[in-house]
Amino acid sequence: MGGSISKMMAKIFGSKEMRLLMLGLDAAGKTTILYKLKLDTDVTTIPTVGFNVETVTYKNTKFNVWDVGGQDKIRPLWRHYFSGTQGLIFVIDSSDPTRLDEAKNELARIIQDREMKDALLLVFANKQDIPGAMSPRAVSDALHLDTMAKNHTWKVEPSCATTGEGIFEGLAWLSQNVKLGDTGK
Amino acid sequence: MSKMWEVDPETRSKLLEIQKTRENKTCVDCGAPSPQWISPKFGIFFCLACSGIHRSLGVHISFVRSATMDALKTGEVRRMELGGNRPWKDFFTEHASNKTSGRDFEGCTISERYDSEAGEEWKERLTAKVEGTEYVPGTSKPARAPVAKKSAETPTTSGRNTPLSKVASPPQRTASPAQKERNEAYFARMGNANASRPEDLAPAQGGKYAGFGSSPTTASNGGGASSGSVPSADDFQKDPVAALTKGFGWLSSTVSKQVGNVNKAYIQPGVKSLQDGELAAQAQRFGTQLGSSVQQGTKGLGQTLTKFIDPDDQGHAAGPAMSGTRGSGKPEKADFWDSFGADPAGPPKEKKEFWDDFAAVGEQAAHQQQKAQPAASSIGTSAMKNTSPSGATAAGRKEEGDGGWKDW
Repeated sequence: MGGSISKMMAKIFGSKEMRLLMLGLDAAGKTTILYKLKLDTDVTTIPTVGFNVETVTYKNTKFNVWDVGGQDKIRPLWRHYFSGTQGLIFVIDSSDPTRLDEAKNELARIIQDREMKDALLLVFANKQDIPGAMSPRAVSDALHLDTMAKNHTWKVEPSCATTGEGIFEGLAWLSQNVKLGDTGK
Repeated sequence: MSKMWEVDPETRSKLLEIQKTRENKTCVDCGAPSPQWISPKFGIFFCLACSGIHRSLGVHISFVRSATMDALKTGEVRRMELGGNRPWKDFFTEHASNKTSGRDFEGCTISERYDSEAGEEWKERLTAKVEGTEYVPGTSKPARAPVAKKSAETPTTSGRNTPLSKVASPPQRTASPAQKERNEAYFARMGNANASRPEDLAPAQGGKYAGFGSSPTTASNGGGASSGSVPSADDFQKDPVAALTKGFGWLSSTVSKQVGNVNKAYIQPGVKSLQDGELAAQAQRFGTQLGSSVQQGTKGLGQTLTKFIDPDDQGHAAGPAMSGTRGSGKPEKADFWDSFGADPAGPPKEKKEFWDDFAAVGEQAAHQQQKAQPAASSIGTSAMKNTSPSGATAAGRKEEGDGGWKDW
């Protein structure tokens, strides 16, 4: 009963809710992005063992952001977070070209999963402040996004988690492209 | 690689062996016992807290891996073997660049230790040892210089090396409305700053942060007309109806925010701690009741707002005579017409008689048309039209009225 009323209110007032899953290799900047969104401060994060989840409200959209650790051994746990995800944020360390191939394989595994077939794909080409960081175009080419993600709506967004550049643009894109009605609940 | 649940047992036992030697049993930076995190680039062990600072330096300086949760390449294991906390500390203290400047390992911050000339040389030497080649000094120099310059030039990025004390303060869990506003203001500022940057440059060189993707981005709704903001006085003058809607939208969003807070504060903890459904359901019912009562409150407020703004705004636009016409199509406002004629701020004396009659006709018309008329944008003229078919007298008065309008 409560659910239907709050849903009705959401319809009347145009607010929406979105479940986002943030994944990527270890030390890509997932947790830094999450807390930049949540607290607007540049926190020095420690490696995430497990996950962080925060609710961030921006404009009329309430984002439930799940940030799951990226160490080798805990990557197989990612799939347990897939269910009901409307948007996948995949974070790339643009200053680390040596691990882009590894990132590509992980991303391919995620978006080929049946549970993720309708999810929007937002790729943050993070750490753009570091000299010599790869351009978003180069990152997208290295990931072969145009072929790998051809069944998804995707976007590559350059970002710098410590200053917050690009993160807002990414969120705005997600909220504009989310299909209403399937809140996963 | 990621399919493995356990780190290769051979690597694991080897790392455990390595950890027993060369002071690897304590964190290289803070001395905490049994560190679980490593930097294969330096061949050192450190604790979880210090690993955060290592990671913030960027992978080009220190690449952090877990001793228990990451798979290591053979070369990386070899680096761990040949490196070690003690040899690295000694190397740093003995390095020429630190001796001349009088720096020692303990007196330096983590970023000074690793983002340094000594650190660069140590990594080079370790690579040479692992590969079994001769160390050639000076190869890393050109790569070092611009990094140091960059961090000195841009104070905004210096936040990467923030001290650990920032982590220690527990993150604020509930976002207050003020926090949200600050966030939005911050994002808006960021967006504006980004818009003014040149597009042909890379972001690292001061260029624009611009993304691209599989589908064109839909245009964001322009500027000040967003429904989430408080309507300004200017809005009321330009387009009263739109401003009203906006005002109501703003009120509603405020209320829904409150409801959200209630949900967060009372329901969620309950749901979390008691997976048992009964209490959670009860809490939720309470929450929705609260929500709907608040919603009703807003509705009343919205109506008050309508009443308040209506006459005021019309008076602005077309003088006092117009102020009543807004309600012409709505029977419930008929009483307004009665009182209108006696209004001291009403029409001039010579027109008073006409207005009284007009009001009476208007009232009749209003009663006849039980169906509410859709609000027209030019309300005054629509009221005239409404009255004209109701009788010949009304038509005659209409003529008179027009004349009155002209010289008034």
